Amino acid sequence: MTKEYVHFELGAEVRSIGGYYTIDKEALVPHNGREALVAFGYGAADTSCCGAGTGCRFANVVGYLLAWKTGEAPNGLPISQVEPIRDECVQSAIRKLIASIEPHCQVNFL
Amino acid sequence: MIGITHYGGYIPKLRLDRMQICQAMGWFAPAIMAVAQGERSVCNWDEDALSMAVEASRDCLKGANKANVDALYLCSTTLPYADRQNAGIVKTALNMGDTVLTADFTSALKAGTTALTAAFDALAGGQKKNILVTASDKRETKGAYFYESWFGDGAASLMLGSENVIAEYKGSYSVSHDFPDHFRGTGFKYDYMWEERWVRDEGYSKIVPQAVGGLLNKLGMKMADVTKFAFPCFFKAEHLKIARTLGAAPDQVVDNMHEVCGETGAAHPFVMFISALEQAKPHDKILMAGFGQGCDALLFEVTDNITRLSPRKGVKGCLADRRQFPSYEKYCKFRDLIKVEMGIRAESGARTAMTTLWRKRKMITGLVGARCKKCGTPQWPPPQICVNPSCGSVRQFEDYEFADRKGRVLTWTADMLAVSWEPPTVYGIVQFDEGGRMLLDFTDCEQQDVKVGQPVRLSFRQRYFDKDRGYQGYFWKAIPVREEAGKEASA
Amino acid sequence: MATGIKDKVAIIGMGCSRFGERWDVGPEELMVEAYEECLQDAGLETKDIQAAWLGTCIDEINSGKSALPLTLALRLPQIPATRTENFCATGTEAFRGAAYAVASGAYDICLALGVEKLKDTGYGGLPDLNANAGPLNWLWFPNLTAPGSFAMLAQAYAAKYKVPDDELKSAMAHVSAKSHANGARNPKAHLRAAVSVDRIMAAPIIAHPLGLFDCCGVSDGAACAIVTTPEIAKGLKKKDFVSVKALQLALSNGEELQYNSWDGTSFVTTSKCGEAAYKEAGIKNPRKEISMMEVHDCFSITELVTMEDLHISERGKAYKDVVAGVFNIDGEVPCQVDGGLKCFGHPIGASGLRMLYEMYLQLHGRAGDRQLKDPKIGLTHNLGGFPFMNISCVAIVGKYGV
Repeated sequence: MTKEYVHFELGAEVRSIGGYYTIDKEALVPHNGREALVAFGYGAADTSCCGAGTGCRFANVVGYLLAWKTGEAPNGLPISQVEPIRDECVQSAIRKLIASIEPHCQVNFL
Repeated sequence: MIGITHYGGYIPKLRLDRMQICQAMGWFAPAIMAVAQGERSVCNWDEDALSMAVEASRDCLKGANKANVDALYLCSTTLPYADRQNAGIVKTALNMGDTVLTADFTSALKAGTTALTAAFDALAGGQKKNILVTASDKRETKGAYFYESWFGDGAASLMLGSENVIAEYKGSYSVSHDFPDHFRGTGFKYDYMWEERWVRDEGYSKIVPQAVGGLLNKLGMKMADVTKFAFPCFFKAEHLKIARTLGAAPDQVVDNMHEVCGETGAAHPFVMFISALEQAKPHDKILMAGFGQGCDALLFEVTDNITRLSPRKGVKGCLADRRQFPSYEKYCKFRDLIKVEMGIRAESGARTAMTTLWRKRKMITGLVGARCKKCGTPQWPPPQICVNPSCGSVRQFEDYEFADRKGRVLTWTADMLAVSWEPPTVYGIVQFDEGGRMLLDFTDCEQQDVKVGQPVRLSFRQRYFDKDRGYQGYFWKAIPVREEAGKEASA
Repeated sequence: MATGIKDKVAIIGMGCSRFGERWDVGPEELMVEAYEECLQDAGLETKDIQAAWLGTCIDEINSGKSALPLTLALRLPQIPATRTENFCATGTEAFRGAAYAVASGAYDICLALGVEKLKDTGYGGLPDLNANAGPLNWLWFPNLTAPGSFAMLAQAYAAKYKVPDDELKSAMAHVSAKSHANGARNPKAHLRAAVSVDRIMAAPIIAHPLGLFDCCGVSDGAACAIVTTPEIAKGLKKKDFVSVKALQLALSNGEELQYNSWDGTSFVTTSKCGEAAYKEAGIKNPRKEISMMEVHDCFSITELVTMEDLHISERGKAYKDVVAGVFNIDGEVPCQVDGGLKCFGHPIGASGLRMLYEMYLQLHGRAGDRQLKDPKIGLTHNLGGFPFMNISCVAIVGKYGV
């Protein structure tokens, strides 16, 4: 399954009513002879209705990279082609790899 | 004959690999390398000596009729209350009757064996028929020294009686000495230890043989007659030397369990004894001794009934159920060894209404709900009016215990927002197989362990600590369990 | 024999403050901001108000107890005033008090005002619910949050209807994206920026499986309404005025959390009071007859499930309907036309009245960039509490006599 991924402007804040997040780093994580595109970010639920939403570091695993920045979205941001990763064993392996690269508290598979 | 009829164990799931301590603090205290073998057991952030005591007692009560218990002794040097009977809280958690005699045995590491001796005296005197003796400790230590590595957290429980005895009580011998190998004054958090070599040479080496020798003499026995000799001593070489002095060969000496959990304070004589009992054959003789300002020595002979004892988790099951701390820093946070900012949201805390706690003690501490006498529906919390829409009966309920019921996850979540010692906070609704449901915090699990439909078991845990008033509150939580045919393990 | 509220109450004025992190104002200023607009809209003076209802929920960090904060701020002339609270249904409860007062004939003109100032606490979010839930609950109720409780709804829904994780996330993202697109067109909203579905799906998780954009936030705000009877409205030369068609409430009785039948996937109460409201308003086919809705989108999953509970979507189908655009502003049944809680935040006492405010504006053709073409019937829905224990209320409004 192929999906398009519109890259983020690194460091730009995406605001919701409950908080915000930014993507500040992209990395290609080698796994099984392929490369998984991972976007690292920081988010905080600082105006959410409950709890101590002081923030967390997270990693979005976009998918296996199929084609890097081959297009452009209407807002000018580059688009890459990716294959989302759904296999639970692969997800587990990639979580471990990410843990060794960067301290974080969440890994999400887009 | 009188003796042990059931046993139970509780070693908390979390383990700290001692090499993690060395890696973190070896630069400061290189000596701790010497004791860095294996792992020690560590309470979860919501456990203490009292909660562990409840769990060990529950394990012990499997296959027993708790209505027959007429006394409950709780033995520990680390109980939450200096004044408010801790054994009474355990008794209420087990939902036992009003006429159970409760007593706390405290202030010495031999509290467990001393309580056992007193309990057997009561049984022998005929005033009591069945006594539950539970020992538990969560000893606090500062970082980067030997004791942090020598100690582990744990609890164990022995039921004493005269029916279906699995280990017959043969006799005891006790000596008491105000030997201050260590002490902890009221209001102080950490023990004050004297020189290890002195403790070894003047303490263990002289006092243990005095009691054990005294017992063997009293019973007209020799150490060669004993199958297994269980006594805690974290000085590895001394442990074997004392045994040798008493005539025991290395294979007669029950391992101190340093590598698998560490020394569990007042619970350790029981923990070591149970580890031997779990492998014992009928007619084995096991000698148990506890050291701490004196020494008690007790001898037991295993009977045929050991082969008929109903299954329980015991020490063996708990040791197999383990999860490692990811880092020493996390252990430090759990042990309050480092100051972290919990945030403004953690400031809240209500005063506990003692009147409400007393009125609702069965519900809160005992997890007792209600079953409608008219329609039979179990319900939680225990109401005034039946929740069944086609029943509606008023005040027609009988007590219904939920703690040991089987249930499954109806739904759940892992909440990153709730203030927590270990985010994300996991909680959900448990639907009990026989009816009734409960909204509960989950514990001893990670997000990956939980799914809708997963079976759970319940566990007695700390709920909150009111630090302004020194009040420790307890309630129950759910633990997801892996579905294994015929065997229960934590997920 | 009771005949319901349909066409017995006319709304002749409404006002709404700007919602947001209003560091510049306290509860008093917010109340007067909304009230001023409302009075002007109604063409009345303070001396005309005969009784008032104040809705605030977390009074201890907000305005304080009793209805005195209202009467003092507005200088109401020693008239009856009542404070009501019913968790997040508080706003509609205040409205209900005022509505029944005029419908009963006890008063001619009444005021309902909801206000909540939540940003004086020193942290983002509501105070610990458990610590203030009574001495017994403090002893055992789990350490839960609203996002966590509603996340459980999502888990159960996905398990029951076998919705794959990414499809549910996508559906929830569509709920948010549509609301943000609408809120961007609303000058009174706290947050006014459109966000795309994929940006929403890339946000971190708050309480699995809800992400940042699936959750509403904390805000300050106030909204109010002035009501009277249709006869008096006509006497005041109001033409084409908005009338209340239905006003219904349903509260949990413990079955969800204590009995054995609720499966965790819907709001028992919303279904009940939705049906009662349709009956009261004479609505037979909600999906066809409702022109627009403002529902309690505290969390995206709440909105999704509410579509089913309100019989707009079939059970297990709402997640497909939202992706198909059924609830978009140009869809079959536009939902959260003003941006909803996602764009306004949730000043608890005010939200119910803010929802009615949007329906009111739409019916009068005054909704600016958000104006729908010829709306007839508007539905508002408030939900207080949690999926397993809650208060649901539904109000239906439309032009009088239509």
